[in-house]
Amino acid sequence: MILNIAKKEFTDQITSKRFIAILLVISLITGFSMYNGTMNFKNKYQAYYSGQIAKKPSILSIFNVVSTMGISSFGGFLGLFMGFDLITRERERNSLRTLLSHPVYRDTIINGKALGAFAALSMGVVFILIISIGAVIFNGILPTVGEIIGIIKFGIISLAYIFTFFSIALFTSTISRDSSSSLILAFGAFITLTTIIPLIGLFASDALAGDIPISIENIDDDELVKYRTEFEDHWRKRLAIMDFFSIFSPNANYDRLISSISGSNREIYEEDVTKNLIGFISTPVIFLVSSYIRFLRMEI
Amino acid sequence: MISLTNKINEILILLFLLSIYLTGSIESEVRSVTAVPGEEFDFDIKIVNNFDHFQTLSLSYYSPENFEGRFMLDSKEVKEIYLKSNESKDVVFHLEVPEKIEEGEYLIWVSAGNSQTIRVNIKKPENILSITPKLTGIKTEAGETVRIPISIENKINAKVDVKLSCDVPENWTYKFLSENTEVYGLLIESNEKIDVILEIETDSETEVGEYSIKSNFNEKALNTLIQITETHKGEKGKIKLKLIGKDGKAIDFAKLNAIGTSINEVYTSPEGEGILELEQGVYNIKIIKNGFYTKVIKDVEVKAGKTTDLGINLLERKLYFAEVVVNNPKLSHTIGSEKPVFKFRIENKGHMDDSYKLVLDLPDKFYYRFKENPESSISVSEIFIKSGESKEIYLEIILPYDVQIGKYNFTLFVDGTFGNIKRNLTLDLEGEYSLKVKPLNGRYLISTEPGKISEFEILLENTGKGVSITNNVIETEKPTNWELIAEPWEIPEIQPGESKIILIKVLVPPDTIPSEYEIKIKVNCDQIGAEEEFRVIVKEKTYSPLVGILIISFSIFGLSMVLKKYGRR
Repeated sequence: MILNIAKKEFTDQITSKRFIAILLVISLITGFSMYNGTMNFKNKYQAYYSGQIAKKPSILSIFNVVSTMGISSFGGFLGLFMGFDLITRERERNSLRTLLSHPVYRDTIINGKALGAFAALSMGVVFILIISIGAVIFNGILPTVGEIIGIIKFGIISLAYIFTFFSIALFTSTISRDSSSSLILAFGAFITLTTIIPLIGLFASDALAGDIPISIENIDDDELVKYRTEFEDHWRKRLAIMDFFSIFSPNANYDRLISSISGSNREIYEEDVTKNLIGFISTPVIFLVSSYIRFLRMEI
Repeated sequence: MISLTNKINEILILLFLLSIYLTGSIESEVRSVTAVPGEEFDFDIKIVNNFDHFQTLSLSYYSPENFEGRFMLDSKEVKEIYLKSNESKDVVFHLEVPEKIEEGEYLIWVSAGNSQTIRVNIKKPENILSITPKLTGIKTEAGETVRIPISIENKINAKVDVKLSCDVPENWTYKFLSENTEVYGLLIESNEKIDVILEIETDSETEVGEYSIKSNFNEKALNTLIQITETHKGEKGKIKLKLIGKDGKAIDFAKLNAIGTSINEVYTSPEGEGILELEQGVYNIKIIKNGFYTKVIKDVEVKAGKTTDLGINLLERKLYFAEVVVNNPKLSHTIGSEKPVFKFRIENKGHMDDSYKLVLDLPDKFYYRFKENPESSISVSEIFIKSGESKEIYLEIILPYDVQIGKYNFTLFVDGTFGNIKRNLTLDLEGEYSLKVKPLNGRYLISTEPGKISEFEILLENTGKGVSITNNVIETEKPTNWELIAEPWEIPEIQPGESKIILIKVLVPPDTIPSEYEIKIKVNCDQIGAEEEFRVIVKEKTYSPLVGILIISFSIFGLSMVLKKYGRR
């Protein structure tokens, strides 16, 4: 039964104009990102061959561009649009009552819908990845086995990212009376998690880390070393605070995880992304569980 | 013997008195005078003819001890006098007292008809001369000249011959000047006063201190003190002079040399002025200038710390003289370029016009020609130059066809009336080192694929002149992990005009991303280096676009199939 519901949901999703439109937008952005990423990659490669840089560039750096330009924003929209009316739509159509009149459990319904949506998202992500790989090969860049594994990791993380916003939208759909309220709530959550929380982190770091050390003119070497140490300590403290807040931001976690697999982590961040991984996984789990509980207790 | 002489004198006096008694009378108011040695007197004597007839009277006198006397009538000395009957005439008897005579009383008999005795009492005065210096103590610097005005007064009635001398410290000199004339003796009339200047030149090396100068005026002496306030001991003196020719123009670059000294030669300035610095002493200064007769100025005194100015000196130009100035006696020339040209100038510095034959002594197979103009094709072998003028001559060397690099010596001879001038010239022949690297087919762009070995040939060409390029070693600059092989990678020698072909193999790693890369071929050798850059375009593998398109098509097809399958309800 759950597969029937999932199949129906999958069919509904992939045939919806919303899904196709957003997938098309993401595909176009991916194409543009691939072009930029490939040029950038070739320049880096030439720099590596001419001895200007020591580290050999990875193909995954191209996908890093793709993630930054396309999936990080439009992927989130795709997740939101796929999930914001998942329950409200059924309620608005009164089809939920009809469905529940059949010998089917409520958990089967929500699990089936989530599974179907996940399948649709997976299909979209796989489609984008295959097109990207095709474009890379078209440009004469043949990925190695290690790089293909990295690309698969990229796909899984991207899928999880989009699914996070799907779970948020699913939750708002279970707690809202109608689809428009759900959409507003979902977008509110999206803005909060992607923008407001990082901003709070920025302000909090500003407030908690104290004043930035001020350099004095004409200082001797010892004082200069001391000043640098104080300056670095100050920034470490600020970054730690900002990192803490970024755990609650799915896109910040997504960026850190993608950067870690593409090897383009900025030096100022810590190498360890465990807390980001935990934050990244826990967010959709929390919202899915919340949606699940809410749907089971819902009055229809 | 003395008593015999006295007897003879007495007899002579007696005969003298007897003779004058028989001839006439003589009258004089002066009977006795006091005199100093050397004093002169004039006595008025009246001679009277007491007879009734005329007579000629001899005028004579007798005096002892070298007294000199003479009778003067109308400023003329007379020995006899003609007197008419009872006539009288006034004559002057001039008596000169010997300068060297003892004090005492002497009798002088004057006769003309009769005689008259004059007593002369000789007394030697204590102060004949009065010496009055205007300066008695002078402060001066060593080496300076001081002038001391001195008045000398003859205080007696006789002329005084004053001998002047001075006792000065060692190396000091002196001179007495009277009316700007150096004097060493003065004849001073009685009661006359003469001003002289005692000029004393002190020695530059005199130590600081007070020195006494004793000036001698006959037996009279005068002491003057000179205090030296500053010494120039140990310092060098200078000789300054200026040289000009007869035309009044200054003579520059004339060599000045103090004969017998080891000091460096000094040359006159463009203004003709020269200064020699020498130790104190007396020198002969030699002046040498090409085209002029050598001149020696003798006995030039140099005083420590002082400048001896020799003023303007004239040098006389020789009749025939010339100088040859070569602008580039050592010429470096690259084989294969234009002909090497030496440039020189002949300056006729003699009084007379002259012509000069030009000859060059040169190695075998070399040729030459002298030209008045570098562009001219007319060669000259003799040049006429007017006095005081100069001409530029160009000496063009024609090299043998097979000339080798190295140094070649030539000798230029310029023969004129004055003689022969020889100048050595050196021609340093060099080769031109030039090495070029270029692709054999003219293309600097190489296309290849990842994992492929590409080959292309480059040409090493010695484009220099006259010289080989040796020990050529090929080096490359390439992208990381690429391999570049040069065959051969070393060439021992490339002759001028010769080319060598090098095969370059480019091994592009299989994982190279298709793009444009740069490789550099460098050739290092003993003389110069050369390098060239080449662009390598690594193209995609031929199947890559196809695979890419297939993948994209497959995914689109797959998506459409899914949509078709699940959308059909």
